[in-house]
Amino acid sequence: MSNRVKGVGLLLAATLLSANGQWLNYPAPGTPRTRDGRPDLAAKAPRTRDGKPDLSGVWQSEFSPKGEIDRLFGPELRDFAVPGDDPTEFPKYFLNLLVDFKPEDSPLRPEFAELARHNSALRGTISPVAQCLPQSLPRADLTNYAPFKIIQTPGLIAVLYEVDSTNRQIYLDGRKLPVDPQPSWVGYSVGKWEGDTLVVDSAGFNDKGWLDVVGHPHSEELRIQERFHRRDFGHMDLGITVEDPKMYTKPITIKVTLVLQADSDILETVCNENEKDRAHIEKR
Amino acid sequence: MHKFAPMYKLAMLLSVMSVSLAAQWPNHPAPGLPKTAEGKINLAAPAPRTPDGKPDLNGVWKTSRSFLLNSAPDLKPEDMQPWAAALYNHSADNYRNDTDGINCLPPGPKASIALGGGYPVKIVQTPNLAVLLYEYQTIFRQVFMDGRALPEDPNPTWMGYSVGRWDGDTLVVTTASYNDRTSLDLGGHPHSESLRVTERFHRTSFGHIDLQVTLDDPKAYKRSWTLPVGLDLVTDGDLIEYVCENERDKQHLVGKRSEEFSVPVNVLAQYVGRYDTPVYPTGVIVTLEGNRLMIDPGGAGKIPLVAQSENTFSMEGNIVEFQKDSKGAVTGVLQHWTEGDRPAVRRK
Repeated sequence: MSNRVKGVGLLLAATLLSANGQWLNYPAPGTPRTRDGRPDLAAKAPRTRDGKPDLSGVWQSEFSPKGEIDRLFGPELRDFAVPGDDPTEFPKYFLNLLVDFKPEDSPLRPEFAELARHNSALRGTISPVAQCLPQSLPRADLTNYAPFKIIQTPGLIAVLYEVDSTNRQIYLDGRKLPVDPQPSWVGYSVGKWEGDTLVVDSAGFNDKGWLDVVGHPHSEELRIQERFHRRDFGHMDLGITVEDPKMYTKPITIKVTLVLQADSDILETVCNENEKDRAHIEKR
Repeated sequence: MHKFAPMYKLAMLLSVMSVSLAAQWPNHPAPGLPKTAEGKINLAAPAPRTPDGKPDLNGVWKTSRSFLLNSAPDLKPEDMQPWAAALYNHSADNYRNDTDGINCLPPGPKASIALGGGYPVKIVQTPNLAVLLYEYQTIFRQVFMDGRALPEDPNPTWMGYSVGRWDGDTLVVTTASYNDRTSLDLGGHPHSESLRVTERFHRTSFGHIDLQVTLDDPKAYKRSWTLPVGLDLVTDGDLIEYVCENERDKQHLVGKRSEEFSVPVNVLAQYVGRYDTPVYPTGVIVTLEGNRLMIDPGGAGKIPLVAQSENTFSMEGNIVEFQKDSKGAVTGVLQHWTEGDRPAVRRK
């Protein structure tokens, strides 16, 4: 096998096996339904007791429109998909956060171009997910081969990721971002309401995460802002701004849609359970 | 700043933890803390309630009694089914070098039994769903409280499937559907897929949850038993990130217990005593039980020392080295950990 070993695919075996569990297809109470009993994704967005939009639910980034991925990337980015995946359904920004920029307009500072090229060339072997390490933001928001679950309480949101069964906290109690944060994979997140939009600012990232599949790097100066707006019961607009003045000349802003996975839930996936790739990964 | 007792971390569980302890994250005080007239936090205040009148279990908690090393303190050997006893002994003979934690795999029922000991757990409670966020491996559990029953033909998972219901002011959480690849404790007590764990959470005051954990696995044990785990509120702390990204322990867990070096008892007796170190406020206590040297590295409980030479011993895989001065008097004990050596000086 070439050294362009499957990157995303490494994570998936457990997902595929687990999908027959009884966790799915549980009709969640409080879900509005159409006359034929199916979840009514066009119904109004729910609100919490205190009148805020309720973002709670199982969410996943929508699939790419047919043909988009082939048009943008050709066959190049199919190498990381495993049987059962359709890589043409992955969001374009998940694959390449800078896909909207022409090469000559890339905000990546020239001195980091070589690092980006290195990452991309070796993405199957040195990417965090290839090593069962966390997939960090913004990638965690965009992954659509596995959903995540938002549990919203007045002072705190817990986010549970199906990918490798990890969690993240978003503080809604008015605290500020720490001034001198300890770098971590998941970062430190605080949120506040602007009208019906939840604005989440995150900092405190380490510099080991990748922004996307092709391996755009970031430094510890990375800051991410997510703007969550639940448009209706079944859809959430998500705007993401990525800022890293050390490595990028300007902020990168994208907009995606999350789709509610009604009557469903997150399953358990454990990357280290069946990790058989390291043995095949050549030392370089 | 709190410090979550590093003594509970046996080699199998660690790696990056000590690096993360420097974080400033834990310093944000918990919201809504009741105060005494003098302005101190009043942990004896009544337990809070949610808007719908149920006891409110939200908060960051650590276990008040840890059963991480041994979840079956009162279990007799004959209480174990033969296969379970054989597996337990096999694991112990091999320094438990193939357990879940050493392979960066999830803790399974250990989450209910003992996590919150070395690492805290955060409870996020909503009317229909409670979530337990664990610092260890940043893993989580969902507890469905919407009235659903446990699945009948479960797909085995590492962390099981949990449902909860209120029994008066006690939240009763039942968990099944575990796979059989984890152990109940670091000592290696095994379990089968039939394991059922019942956790009874009763918040008796603002600062304390009386948590009783019942383990029932008839395929592995001839009786069930209940552990008084208890949870104490962490008032100034929060979870910090734990990622199993730097696993370096397995390579050290070599050899077999049966290959023990023979050390005369009068030599072992020289090592008995108390050793002081800033790492463990309660000190490192070395005792002799029969012919077996035991070490308590800071309140974690006694762990047998298996001789590798006259002055080096294996503490569940970690090497412990006794030091002598030129006259042959024992001066200290050095624990070799993945994160670095931990010296302790013998108390005069």
